[in-house]
Amino acid sequence: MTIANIDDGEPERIPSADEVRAETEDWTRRINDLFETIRSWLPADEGYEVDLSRTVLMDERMTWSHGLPAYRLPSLGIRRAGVGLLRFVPDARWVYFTRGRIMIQGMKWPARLLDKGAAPGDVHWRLYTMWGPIGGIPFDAAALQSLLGEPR
Amino acid sequence: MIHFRAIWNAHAVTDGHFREFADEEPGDAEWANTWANLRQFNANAYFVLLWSQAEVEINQLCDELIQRKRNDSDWDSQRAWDLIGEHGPTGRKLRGPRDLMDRIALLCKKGGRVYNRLSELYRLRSRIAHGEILQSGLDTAEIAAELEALIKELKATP
Repeated sequence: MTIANIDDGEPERIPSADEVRAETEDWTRRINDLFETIRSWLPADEGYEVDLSRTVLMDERMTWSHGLPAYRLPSLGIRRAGVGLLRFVPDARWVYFTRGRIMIQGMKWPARLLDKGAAPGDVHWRLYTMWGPIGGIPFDAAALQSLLGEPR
Repeated sequence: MIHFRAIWNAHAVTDGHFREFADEEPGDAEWANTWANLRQFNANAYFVLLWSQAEVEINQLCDELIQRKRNDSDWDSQRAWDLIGEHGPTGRKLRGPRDLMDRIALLCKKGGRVYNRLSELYRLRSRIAHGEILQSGLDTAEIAAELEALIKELKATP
């Protein structure tokens, strides 16, 4: 049994530049993998289209404090009949107690995905919405379908 | 009544507006950094607000525990609890030890999972409250859910 040390002054452990670089590469890989998975979840015969033409600039405090360059990641839009429904926008790799955050735009109320995986290779995207359970739900094909059906 | 969900919802809505401002100048790095900083301050403020709600509940649970133990008919069990908490002229203030983590230690096993996790979150709250600028962001959706679950576990402890 380990008793936690109560010390307000305990410093944050800052990853090295090499660790940040490796995490950034892993984050990019996870975003691309997730977007491929989302694409595979869309029913082929219901007229959905995927748009990966837009990018977002990633320039977080953790990267620029090491002098590492900003970089761009794709955002994933879902359209039907020429109308934009949802857009998944990578927001931050460095969020406490998570391995990254993606904002979901296009609905009436805010929603987000958090990767709750414990380590590289352990990926657990969870969906948090203002109307769903406070602890979120696993992000799977059914969760995507429910998002597509939300009012906007 | 704890307002964890309402607080994270309030943060989600305000954060959404901050992001809309940030998106207005998509190629401007200085603009993006300005709004990234504002989003972080906003998240930190809501995180401290979540903690204040947790503290209300922890104090209430401590009051109830101390009162219950002081009412024990067995003096051997009661006497140590009579020394915990302050005695004021108009009645007792029952919150127990001054330090929040000591109060939490009255409600769960020191060194156990619940205690250590609350300790970790409390240290983070203290660093923000004492003015540190964190390198990583915070997500109140996740923390609201976790604080709610931890408080439920404290309530379940006899």
